[in-house]
Amino acid sequence: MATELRAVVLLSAGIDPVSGRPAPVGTEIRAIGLARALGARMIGLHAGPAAPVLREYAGYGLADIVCLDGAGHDPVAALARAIVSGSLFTDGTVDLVLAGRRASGGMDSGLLPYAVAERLGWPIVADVAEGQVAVPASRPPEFDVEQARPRGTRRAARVAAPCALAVHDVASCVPDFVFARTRMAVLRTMPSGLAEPSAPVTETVEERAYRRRPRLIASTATQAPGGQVLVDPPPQDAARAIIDHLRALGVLPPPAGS
Amino acid sequence: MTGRLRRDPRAERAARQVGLGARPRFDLAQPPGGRSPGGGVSGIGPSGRIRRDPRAEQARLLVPGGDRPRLVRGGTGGTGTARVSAPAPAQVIRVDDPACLVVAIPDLPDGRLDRLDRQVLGAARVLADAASGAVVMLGGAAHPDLVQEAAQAGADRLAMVDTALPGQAVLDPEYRAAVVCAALAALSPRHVLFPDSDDGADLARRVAAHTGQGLMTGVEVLTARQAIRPCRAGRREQISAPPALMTLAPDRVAPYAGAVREARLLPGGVDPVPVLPVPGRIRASAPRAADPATMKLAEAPFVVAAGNGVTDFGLFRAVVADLHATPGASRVVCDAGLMPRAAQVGASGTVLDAVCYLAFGIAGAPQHLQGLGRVEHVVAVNTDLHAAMVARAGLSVIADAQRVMPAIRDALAAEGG
Ligand SMILES: Cc1cc2nc3c(=O)[nH]c(=O)nc-3n(C[C@H](O)[C@H](O)[C@H](O)COP(=O)(O)OP(=O)(O)OC[C@H]3O[C@@H](n4cnc5c(N)ncnc54)[C@H](O)[C@@H]3O)c2cc1C
Repeated sequence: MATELRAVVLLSAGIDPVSGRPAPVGTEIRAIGLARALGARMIGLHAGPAAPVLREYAGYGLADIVCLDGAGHDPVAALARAIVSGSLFTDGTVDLVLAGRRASGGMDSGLLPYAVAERLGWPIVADVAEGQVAVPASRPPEFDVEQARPRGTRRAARVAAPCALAVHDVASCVPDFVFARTRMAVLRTMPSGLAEPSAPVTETVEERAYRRRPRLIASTATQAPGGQVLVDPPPQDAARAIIDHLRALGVLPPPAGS
Repeated sequence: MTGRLRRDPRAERAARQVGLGARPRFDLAQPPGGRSPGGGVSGIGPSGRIRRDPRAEQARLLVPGGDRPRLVRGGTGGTGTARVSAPAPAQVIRVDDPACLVVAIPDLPDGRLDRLDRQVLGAARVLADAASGAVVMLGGAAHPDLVQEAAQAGADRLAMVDTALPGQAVLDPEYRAAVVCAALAALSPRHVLFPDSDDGADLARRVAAHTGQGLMTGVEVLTARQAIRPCRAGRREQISAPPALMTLAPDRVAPYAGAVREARLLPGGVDPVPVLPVPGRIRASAPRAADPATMKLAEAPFVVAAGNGVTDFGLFRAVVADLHATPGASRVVCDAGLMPRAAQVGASGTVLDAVCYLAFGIAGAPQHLQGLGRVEHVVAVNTDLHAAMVARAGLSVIADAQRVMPAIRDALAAEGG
């Protein structure tokens, strides 16, 4: 392909929700897969010091990972700066920024891709489940993406490069993991170019161990009649009871005639 | 002789006889001593004591109107029937001079407030009540009949801002965010609440990125003084005072259940209509439902699954198609190659997020039940009354799956034809 896409995948140093140990984030792995599906050349970008967990992403096919040193206090500015600087790819500017819809291990607010896109002045489409380059090919290239919506619904959207895409957990584009690639990966460190903050950043937000709290119980209107048991009913009665129950729950459409 | 009075039932009965027809007729409502002169409540019993009829007295105290019985016990009674009160007009709570505004921006799927939207309004109520502020519901211009619903859900004001692109079928989330930002700038609220749904969270993040205001996503606990949300992969939680922007996780804050609010209409529309620097960068179409037959199991709303108790898989697939459901299976079935591995429900298969799960001939091993994590409604068809799946089910049918499945097909076919 003459005009190859240049994509940046934003990587975070995630942790595993169960063990709490460093682990790659599922949505970011899928972001790598989406970049491959779009046929893009990609560079991983991480705002922060090089961490061993970043090598795991290399195992999913991201050979080149850049860490921005000294970006901890303002990752948005550092990432935006690196993306527009033109120093990531030797042959051109970045067409596409890919990210997971939400990190797993930091503040996990999902705000960072939006903030980066806002800083760059690029459009962002979130919850991407699938994507492809729109045909007929245009310059700048356009992307046809499918946004995941609840209960398996999908929403098609079209957006032109340069843009940012945040990938949803249901995206099926998970690349294969190759352990040897984690060994071969190069983690490059680049200065973020940001001035050190004049005053040390003070965390105002209090944090403590997560406490599981009960959720509100679904309203009784939608609750099924609890534990109804039909023992050895005639099959017709059983079928009727099941169909009526499914209709009451709203999962089965009402009969065509009514 | 004791001092006790002896009743003569025959004489009492004779005293109640009315008319002298061929058949004797008796007025049993008449007090045994004969009608008292005023026709009043109380008769004099044979003992000379006043006899009360509590039921009749209560009936007289009853105030007509209203759907719950109301008794007025103030007076001596007997005036009840004259007291006809009109049903009291429902009390509407007004906030005329709010100290601050709390904005709730519901999603309004299908133009109505859904469960989470109501919870968002309930949360906004919590914040507004603590600061004697008013709740403003933003959005819903396309649905003018929403006013009553919003009033019940706790909205003091209604800013019916149109967030759709004028005269276009495509949705532009950037335009929507720009309109909301402009509307918020005009209102300058203290807090803004969004539902933590896909669309709500998208809008909240756009607004936060654009305005640079603090955003807390997925708030799980919200009081007037603090908001708590999970962070660090759900292992820790963040506590802070309620920030300017929040998205509320589902089923965490109760919807408003108090008296109807005013839902006064604020001047709708934003002036001037925001103009995007580059309009139409994102062109999204309306969401379309996926085909249940090919949908991913993890996302499917309705899953019908087969276990070792199903022998006729052609029939099973036909039932699944007739029910417009997504097929699932237990591990035994997948191991036997009767269903694809992608259909396996359970610990080593897929964890469902369905509304309803219909299990044919599945015992409900712990490894299988793990896959039903969040499923609210389970229906089981099993020959074993003591199967674990039956214990988990809201409706269980103890019968042979091979006989129930064709009956379901027949019943659906009879409806269709
Ligand atoms: C490490 C591990 C992981 C596992 N992970 C999974 C997993 O992810 N998913 C999973 O499903 N299993 C899993 N299993 C297997 C699990 O333990 C059970 O063996 C399996 O779920 C049983 O499947 P079943 O209920 O279909 O079959 P059975 O246990 O054979 O139960 C069949 C049921 O059908 C009923 N029945 C029989 N005939 C009829 C009829 N004619 N009509 C109606 N009902 C009938 C029976 O009463 C019985 O209740 C795992 C096991 C292990 C050890």
